Amino acid sequence: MAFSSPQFLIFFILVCGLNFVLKNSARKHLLLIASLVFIGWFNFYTLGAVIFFSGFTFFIAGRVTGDKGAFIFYSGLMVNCLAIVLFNYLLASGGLVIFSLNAVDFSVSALFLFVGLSFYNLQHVAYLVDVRKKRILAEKNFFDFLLISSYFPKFISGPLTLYQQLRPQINGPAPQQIILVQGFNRMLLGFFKKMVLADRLAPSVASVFDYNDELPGITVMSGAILFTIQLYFDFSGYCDMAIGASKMLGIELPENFDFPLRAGSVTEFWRKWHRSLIHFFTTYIFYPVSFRYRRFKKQAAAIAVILTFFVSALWHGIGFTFMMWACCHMVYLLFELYFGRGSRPGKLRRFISVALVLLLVSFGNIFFRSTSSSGSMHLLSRLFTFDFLPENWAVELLAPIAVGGHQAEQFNLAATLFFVFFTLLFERKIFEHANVSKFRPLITFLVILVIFVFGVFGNAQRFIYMQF
Amino acid sequence: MNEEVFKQVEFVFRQVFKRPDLLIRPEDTATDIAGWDSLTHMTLINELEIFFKITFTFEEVTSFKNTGDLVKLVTQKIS
Repeated sequence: MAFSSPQFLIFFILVCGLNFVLKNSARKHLLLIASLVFIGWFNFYTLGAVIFFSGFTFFIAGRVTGDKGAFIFYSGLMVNCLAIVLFNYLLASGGLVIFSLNAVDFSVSALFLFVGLSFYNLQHVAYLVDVRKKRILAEKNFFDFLLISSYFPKFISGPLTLYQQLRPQINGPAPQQIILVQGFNRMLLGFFKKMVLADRLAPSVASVFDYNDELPGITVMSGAILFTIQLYFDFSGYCDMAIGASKMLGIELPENFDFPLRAGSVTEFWRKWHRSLIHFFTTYIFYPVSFRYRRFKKQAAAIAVILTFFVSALWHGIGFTFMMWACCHMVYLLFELYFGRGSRPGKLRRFISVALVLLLVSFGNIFFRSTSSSGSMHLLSRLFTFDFLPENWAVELLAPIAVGGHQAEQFNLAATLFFVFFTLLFERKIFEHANVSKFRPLITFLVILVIFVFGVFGNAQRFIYMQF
Repeated sequence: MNEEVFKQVEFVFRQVFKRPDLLIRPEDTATDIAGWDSLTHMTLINELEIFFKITFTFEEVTSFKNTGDLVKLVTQKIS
């Protein structure tokens, strides 16, 4: 039951309606039942795992403080971290769970065996650390803890939400009408990004990444750039839906993106991309390490960068491709650490910096997107050959990107690129419009019309970040 | 706010971010000062510790919201 599926829409309208009319004291019970139904809809394995890990973490959290709590604390961390590693191992092994980003043979049912557990267990890790460090008190009510852990809008792929961000909100009042409108507008933006932008780009990206063709370097790089844009719209679209849906239920989730494709340095990119996960890594890994070794100045930050991205690679998945992706970002960040990011440049320098960052991030994403190490090495070899530029641009660049050589396919690509560049160019304005609390029937009608005319239907179950 | 401590903190900022003309305001956050991010944050903390001969705790260095809070924290530590 992914956000863009018809089943979810029916489920959500029901939950939202009941949430609006119920008393404050009853709302959290409704949200808990809705969250368990939502998770159970994927499968009972995930629901069982959620109840088990919530019970385990709830039970030990009350015993992790003080000297005697150290062993229990580290045991709790180990169990939650092992669950993440095991989940990623199952994904990587291919034996039990088969996942491929290939648009053609996508094994949805297998992927959903333990959907969302990487995000889920990471929140438990943060909760245990915060209780141990006495930043928060351990939760006394198991059902409140279960709701905070499994709250359905953020369950599958975040935004990663800390216990202390949700706890004060679960007893709050029902949302006012203007908040409902705001949430609806935000969800609509998410549907637009997912169905009109990300899903329309998916075939072009798959055409470059999934067939091992002898493509010229510029085609590979174009595919990598398109994948970066696809990933951004897919994931930020998902987050818009999650944030909007949660807003309509009266609970604010943290923002996850801050226009990352406008970043002028890789450091800035990581302040704007997947912010809730980066906040987690910065708070629980990067800062503790760089603080402990701060007398070594830049070397402390360098060690912290390497360790943080090593853990991030393991969290994303086990294997060569994610480690290579992490190594790319380690190199970029260490370069910026030692050689500086410079003072704020003028418009032209800023534009060049933004383009360069997009190229660097897209280069790293060749590994992130590749389904195997041999696939990524093949694409890499195509980048560093003498035939970087094609002899026949129509056949070797346009046809693979348009997924065909006919006029209809090229028109389709042109329409996709028009929507993508229009959205990127007016991104801030569009975001402001999506956050207004006023219902605008004409704009709403036009957006829904664009989604129905140009959107891709049938990809409802496929969000790229569901694999993590 | 202690003006003298504020000027001294500003001096450390100038040294760390290599900008002799940098002027800080109490309401400035990391987003207002070019180069101040997670990569350089602990270097700044370390330089402040050396300059003022103080030691921060981890909770302190991750909790202040702006330079005004930082100056208040330093003032508390040295007084």
